[in-house]
Amino acid sequence: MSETLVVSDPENKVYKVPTKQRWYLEQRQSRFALMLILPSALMILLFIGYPVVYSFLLTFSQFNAHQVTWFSEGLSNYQKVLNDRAFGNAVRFTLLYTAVYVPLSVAFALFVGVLLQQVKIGTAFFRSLLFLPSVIPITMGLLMFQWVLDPNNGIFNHLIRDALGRPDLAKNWLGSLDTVFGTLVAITLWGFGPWILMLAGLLAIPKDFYEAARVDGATHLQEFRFITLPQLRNTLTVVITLQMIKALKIFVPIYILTTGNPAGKTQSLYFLVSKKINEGEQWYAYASTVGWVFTFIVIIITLLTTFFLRNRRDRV
Amino acid sequence: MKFSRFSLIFFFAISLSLGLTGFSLAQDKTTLTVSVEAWMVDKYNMPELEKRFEANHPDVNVVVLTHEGNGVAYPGIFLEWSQTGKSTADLYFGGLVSQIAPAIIDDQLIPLDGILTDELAPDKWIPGFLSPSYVEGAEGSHYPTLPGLGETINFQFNTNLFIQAGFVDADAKPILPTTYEQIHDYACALAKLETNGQKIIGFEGEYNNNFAPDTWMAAVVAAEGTYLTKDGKINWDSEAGKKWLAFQKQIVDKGCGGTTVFTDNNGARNALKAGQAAIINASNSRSSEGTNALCKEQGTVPCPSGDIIQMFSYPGDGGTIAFSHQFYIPRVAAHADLALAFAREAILSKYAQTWSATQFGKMPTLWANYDALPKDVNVDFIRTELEGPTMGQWQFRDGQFLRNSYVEQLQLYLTGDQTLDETIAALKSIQDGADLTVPGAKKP
Repeated sequence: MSETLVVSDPENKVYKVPTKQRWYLEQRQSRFALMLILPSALMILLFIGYPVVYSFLLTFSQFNAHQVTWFSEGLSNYQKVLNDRAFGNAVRFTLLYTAVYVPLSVAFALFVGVLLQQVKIGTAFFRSLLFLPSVIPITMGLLMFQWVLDPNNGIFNHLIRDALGRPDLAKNWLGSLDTVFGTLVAITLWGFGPWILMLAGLLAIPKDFYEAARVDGATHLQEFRFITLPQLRNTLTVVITLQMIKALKIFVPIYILTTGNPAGKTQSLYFLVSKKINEGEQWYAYASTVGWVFTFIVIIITLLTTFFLRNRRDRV
Repeated sequence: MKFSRFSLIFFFAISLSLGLTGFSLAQDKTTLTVSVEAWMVDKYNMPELEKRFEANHPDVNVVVLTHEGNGVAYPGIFLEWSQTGKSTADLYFGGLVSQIAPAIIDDQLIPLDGILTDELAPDKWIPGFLSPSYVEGAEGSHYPTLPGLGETINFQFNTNLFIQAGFVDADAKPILPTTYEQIHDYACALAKLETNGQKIIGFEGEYNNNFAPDTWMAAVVAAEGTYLTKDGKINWDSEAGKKWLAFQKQIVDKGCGGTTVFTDNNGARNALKAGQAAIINASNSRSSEGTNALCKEQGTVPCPSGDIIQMFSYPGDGGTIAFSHQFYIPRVAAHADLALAFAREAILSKYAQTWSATQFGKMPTLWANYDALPKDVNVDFIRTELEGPTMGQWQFRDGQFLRNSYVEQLQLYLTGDQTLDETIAALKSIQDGADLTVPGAKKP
């Protein structure tokens, strides 16, 4: 064990400290660090740890306003949830939405990121313009779409009917089973996904790579295929994972735009949890169970995605 | 500039005493907290009620809070009472009997029977609004909630469009449909009209959780007098109920009606207000909203140019559904007496009861206040409905679950995902698994 402790003070002085004193100093530092962490740790335990454990135990129990009968239900809440048609619909909708939304949002973000990387004039203007949807409160943005898509008074149908002269194409975009899914995906793509993250990743790629490729006569497509994509792999992993979690947790657009309808076909798992909670405290245990099954699904999907993306990265 | 030590101490002492005096003056006022559903703040003119009550009670400071409507906030509110033994508000205003039934069943509310004397004696109330608040409790504790302002469920139609379609008599008075077949024919004829080059919606129904279950209840009550079976369950096998469902399906299938309400609770009222829906089926206040919106003298409310939107009843002689926005005081309220005073002096005041009725069509729950309302065809219509037989909404512990389930099954049927028989079977099966405890089963 070295008897020298290097203290990185502004003058980079090296102090020799006896082992015992050093041990004492380290202990003091650890205690101090623990004291600093303690308030946050307590808050996390109180406001996250406790509800998480409570809600998990609730999945095996019965809840009413006056008492919780712990572990009285065994696995029956899980059985009830898995046999519920609404739950099946919610799983189907959530997974389908995730499968469609994630690739599209990542592709949009990449496309916008690459375009912005290329733009040399008015960079700040275009970035600000594209950043606008992120600044507008999501509820306001969604209400705006509700108005735009209103089947009777919305400007979208008005344009289709009057400007295009195709009244047959004017639809109840959010109220019809044929169109609601596509409309929801399209609306939630507003803002072009996480293009800021993509742009940050793209700007971090050394320009030398592109210059060298151009010297070798590479086309733009080849530059994209053999430089941009491989260099973006870490960013893509993060973006895909984040978008996946976002898609699996979709709630606000459904709450505002469709209320889970038509015919309950746009109920996501998150929405179902909220709906069940609003049906009364007798449904809290059921809602907790849906929440936990949902959590397992998210964990499995996230692990699989991370594993798949890491494997591909390692192979490259 | 230098201050002596004495002057500094003197300055701090004066500041402290002034601060404490101000604090103690503020403390002298009692704070009464009233929580209302967010949409009610303007429609019930809460700022004015607050001001008037404070003027009559100089020692009281009224704070108005809001909570979410449509039954969403209530489980959380009831849970606060039972889990913490405290209540954020002393008085709650809003919520239908069907939504607050769990709190009544669990005996979480103070009986309000004490104020039912003199001008508030039970016979002064409109039975259709008061009777759903009645609970078979111990003597002197029958009313855990009371109705603030109420509505009935019926059909509203645009008179201008009726005239355009020729549904008027020789005196240009609308000829009203009296059977579902007629309503259907009217809707399909009206759907052929255009306004500003846009097709009219013949009939827009309530297909979402704001009113869908109530429109079914109203249809069944109108034809059969009750929507409950003898053992207190919902009569999903009712012929009138099936007819009502089939009628809505026919309208949707033929394209004579809209389906905006599938996803937008306000779809029907907005279309009516925009002059694009000829007939809708909802609570009576939509007629005031529609008339005011379509009034030629925009900005003048209530509309002085007549009742552009009028109403007609469901086919049948059995009556309709009457419901009201309840007020109630939790047992754990900090200032129950003040809350009761606010209910009596503010919510049930002539001003509150008539102001909202003239502005928004939310009807008084006391007969005496009807004399102060403008004499027009719509007020007369509702008064006649209220004088006839009415029934309240269902009041099961799982009432909200049953409401949501009805909406889902209704939409599955209307979108062609299941047949009428499958819909009825599903509703019966859902009911079998629901908690059908009703208020009064557990006596206070």
